[in-house]
Formats: sequence, C-alpha cells, structure tokens
Amino acid sequence: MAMGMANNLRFVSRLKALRCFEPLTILKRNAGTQTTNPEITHFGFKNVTVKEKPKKVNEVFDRVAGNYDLMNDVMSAGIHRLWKDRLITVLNPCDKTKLLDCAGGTGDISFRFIKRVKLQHDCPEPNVTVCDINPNMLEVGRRRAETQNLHLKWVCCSADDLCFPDASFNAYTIAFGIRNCTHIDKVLKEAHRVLEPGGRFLCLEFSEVENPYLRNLYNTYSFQVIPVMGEVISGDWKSYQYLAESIRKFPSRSQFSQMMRDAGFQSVSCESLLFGVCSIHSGFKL
Amino acid sequence: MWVNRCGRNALRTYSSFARMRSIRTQAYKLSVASMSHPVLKIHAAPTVPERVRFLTTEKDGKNEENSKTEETNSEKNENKKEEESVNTVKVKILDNALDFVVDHGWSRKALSCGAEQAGYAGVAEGMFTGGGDDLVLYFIQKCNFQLVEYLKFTIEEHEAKEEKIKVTSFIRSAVEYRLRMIIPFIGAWPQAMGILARPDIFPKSAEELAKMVDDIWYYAGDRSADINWYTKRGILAKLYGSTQLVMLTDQSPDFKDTWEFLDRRISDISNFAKISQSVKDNGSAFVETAFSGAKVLKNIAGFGDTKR
Repeated sequence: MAMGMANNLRFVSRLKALRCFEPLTILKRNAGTQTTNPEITHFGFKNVTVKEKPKKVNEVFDRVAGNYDLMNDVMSAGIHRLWKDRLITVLNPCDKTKLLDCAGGTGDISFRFIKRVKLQHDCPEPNVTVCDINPNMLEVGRRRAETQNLHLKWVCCSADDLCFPDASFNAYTIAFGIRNCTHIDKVLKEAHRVLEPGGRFLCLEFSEVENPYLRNLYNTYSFQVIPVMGEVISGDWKSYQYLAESIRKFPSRSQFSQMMRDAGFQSVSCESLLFGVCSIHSGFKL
Repeated sequence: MWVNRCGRNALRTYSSFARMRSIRTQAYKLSVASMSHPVLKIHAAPTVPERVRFLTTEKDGKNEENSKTEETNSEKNENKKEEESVNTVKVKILDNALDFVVDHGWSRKALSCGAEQAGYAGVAEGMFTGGGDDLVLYFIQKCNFQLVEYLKFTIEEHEAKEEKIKVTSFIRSAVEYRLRMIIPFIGAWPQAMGILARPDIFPKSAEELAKMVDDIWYYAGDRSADINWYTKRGILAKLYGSTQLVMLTDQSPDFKDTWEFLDRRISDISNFAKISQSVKDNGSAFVETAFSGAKVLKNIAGFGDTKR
C-alpha cells in the first residue's frame, strides 16, 4: 500500500511539474529556439549534440515499441489508419513496384502495400523491404507479419546511411519517421540515391494546422492529453512529450518541399490531411 | 424606331468584339508561326509546346516565406529549366502511354505502362494529377498541332502550283484529316468524349475545340472582323462534332459513310451560305418593307409619332 501511495505521489508530482500547464506562449517561445551551431540539434524542445540524438531517439522507440500500435490507435482515435490508407492510394502501386518502407518498424505501410498489390494486380510476392534504425520495432513488425503470413525483408539500418545499392527501389515511403532523423537533408539525399529514375518519394508526416482556432485546440490536445494517455497506458510520459515537441520542431510544408527540391526531387507536391494535422509530401526522381 | 437602334447597337458591339478577336487571333498566329512545332519533330528534339503547360500542376504547401523574398532572375531561370525538364519527361511518358490506350482505356494504368515503356518506374504516373484526363487532353492537343502542320503544308502545295484555295474543299480535307487521327483509338473514343464532356474538364476541351476551328478557318483564308467570325467557327464546330458522332457508329470500310455524311453537310452549309448572301443583297428592300409595315401598325394602335 505504501508503494501504491508512492506511485500516486510520483504521478501527481509529475502532473504538477508538467510543462503543458504553462500557457501556450511559452510553447511558442520554446518551439522557436534555433541554434546555428552545427554540432547542436534539437530533441523535442531541448538542445542536444548531434551524436547524442540517435541514441536518445533509439531509447524512446525502445520504450514505445511494445505498445506502439495501440498508442497510435488511442492517440488518433484510429484516424492514422485512414492516413496510411491515403498514402498507399496516392502511391498507386503496380505489380512491378519495389517499395522501401523506411522507418517502417511495425510494418503498417508495408502490409497495406502488399494487400493492395495482391488484390489489384494478382501479384503473389510483392517486393517490399522494411528498414528501421530500432531493432525492437522491427521485431514487433516481424511478429505481426508472421501472424498474417506475409513475406517481407527486414533490415536494420539508419535512414541517413542506407545499406542498399543505387537505384534499387522505385518507391520510397517514410511515415511519421523523418522528424526523428538527425540530418533530414542526408535522409533525402539517400532516398534520392536508392530510387530508380521515375521513382517516387512519399513522406507522411505531422505538420502545422492551418486554422488558428483548430491549432490551439490541437496544441492543447497534444500537450495536455497525449502525455497523460502515454502515462496511463504505457507508464511513459517523456516519450509522448517528445512526440508532441518533435512535431513542433519539424520544418514547415514549404521549407520541407524546398529541402526535397534541394536533394534533387522534382514535381514536388504536398497534400494536407485533416485540416493540416498531417501532410503527404511527394517528389519524383527524374 | 428604338427597336431598330437597339438591334444596330447590338450588332455594332458584336462586330467590335469580333474585330478585337480577329486582331488577337492574328497576333496569336504570328506567335505560333515563330514557335517550333515539337510534336512532329519529337524524335529530333523534344521541346514541349506551350499549350502543354497546364500539365505541370505543382502544388506546394503555403509559400509564406517565398512570397516575402523576391525571386532573382537566376532563380526564375532555374525554375523554368526544371519545369522544362519535368515537361520533357511528362511528354515522353504521355507519348508512350498512347500505345496502351486501346488495352487499358484513358486511365492511370495506361500511363503506368507508358512510363515503364519510356524507361521510368510505373509509379511515375503519379506526376499526372488528373490521370487519364491529362492523357486525353494531351492527345487532342497533339492532334491539333499535327493538323496545323498539315494545313500549312496544304497551303504551301497550293502556292507552289499557283492555285487558289477552294474554301469548302480545304475545310473538308482538314476535318477528314483531323478525324482520321482518332481512328486508331476509336474503340476507346466514347470514353474520351465522356471525359472531355465532364464539367471540370469541359472548359479546357472547349478551348481546344475553339482553337482548332479557328486554326482551320484562319488557314482557309478567313479574315472576317464581324459577326461572321463567330458564325463560321460555330458552324464548323457543329460540323466537326456531328461528323465525329457519326464516325463512332460507322462500320463501313474505311469509314466511307462518314465522309459521305461530311460531304452532304458541307454542301448543305454552302447552299445556305448562297441563299443568305442573296437575301443580304436583296434583303434591304425586304427589311425596309417590314419596318414600314411595323410603323403603320404603330400608327393604327395610336403609339405612332405625328411625323411621317
């Protein structure tokens, strides 16, 4: 009983220490801090060294891997499934499409791709490779694939240093993963390298809500509801705080489109989903 | 006589619009003449016609930062070069996709197969936001460009033989040439007509039809600057549309029935033109008689003015 009381006190003290009770002006102030030092990058609203960030991101995903799919469903009320369905619809794969699902740990995008290609094109073995920096996420994905009897390749490597030869895929997707990468420009250049001419790069990522009233509502939900859900369901507050903060630190739609063009992608376009909560960025290697 | 005045004013307004249009058309023709026509020379040097510009629908996110900074000349040049290179690839994919229209219709599947044949990944068809609609519009633009080349060639031939162009036979040969381009795709043409009639596509397809009939009349030698500018193009558009419909259900060898239908419609139009010309020549007396009859009726009813 004493332990139960201690846990409750810890929970309450965490609630009190919560940054999300601060007014949203402080959110804006923290979200805007940038540094010109190339050795320093952001991890949520904190500044960390470039060498530390991959380790910290790995720790976050080690913690969330177990309940990743459940938490996705709870946080977005199942809407993330529609976003991922839309991503595959936009891709419109055919039987000759070779997909690299980057940061695709638990395999949501890959499974949808396989089901669609099998259904529409009668292809028995769609060519899909899933790569992720975190082996625990890949393990969760492997177990899910076994239960559904799907055959994919699972590779553990970093998105900014892919271990595949040039022009080995014709579709590259990265869903809700690119904001966790340390060097987004390197990830884009690697994506450009491994794609064939005519290959498509698709990035599904959270973005800024356009409408200011909805944006306030979304900020309140992100900082006051999601970490509480994380604590209650997974006992992990910090990871979901990091999730909300990392969304705010990601470049805007036009900045990211320009980064894609700088990496060599052409015919770059952007589609907003759910009033701007999510965006699908698309580019082609020509 | 205010009815008379209103009618004359309306005609004057229409005529001035027609004059403006004809001046604009002639300026456009000069610009077209100076442009290279890449469709026929596409194997030599694939430059993209200006008319294909609508295919590059690049949607960005909000460009707040871009609107604040001024684009320098070099940036604009770079953007233009990028757009041109993207357009070149798109035209290559569209040309190859036409080979698959018979099997897959005017669809994304045809574009995907075309992309693979052109040496690109099948998913490159995602560049076309309209999918099969873009393919249909590209095809009719390509046909219209080839038609203009044919019209120029016909005129040069007549000039070489020092013959005067007979308008009716010129127009007949132009319409036949243009309709024959559809023959390889006639199985999928009803689907194409359905796409072109859809409300979101109709403005573009109507524009292409208008440009085509304008091209035919211009090269036939029409320089009218009055209401005839509209009537001639309207009649030709209707002629083209009706002949196209007849062609869809024609099972005769080499579409013989279609060309006979075309001949009959053209003779009807030329007969009508002759009759209307004679009415115009002799019509002034008729018009005056009609108006004087109207004045008499007004006087009887009590609304007439006291002047004779």
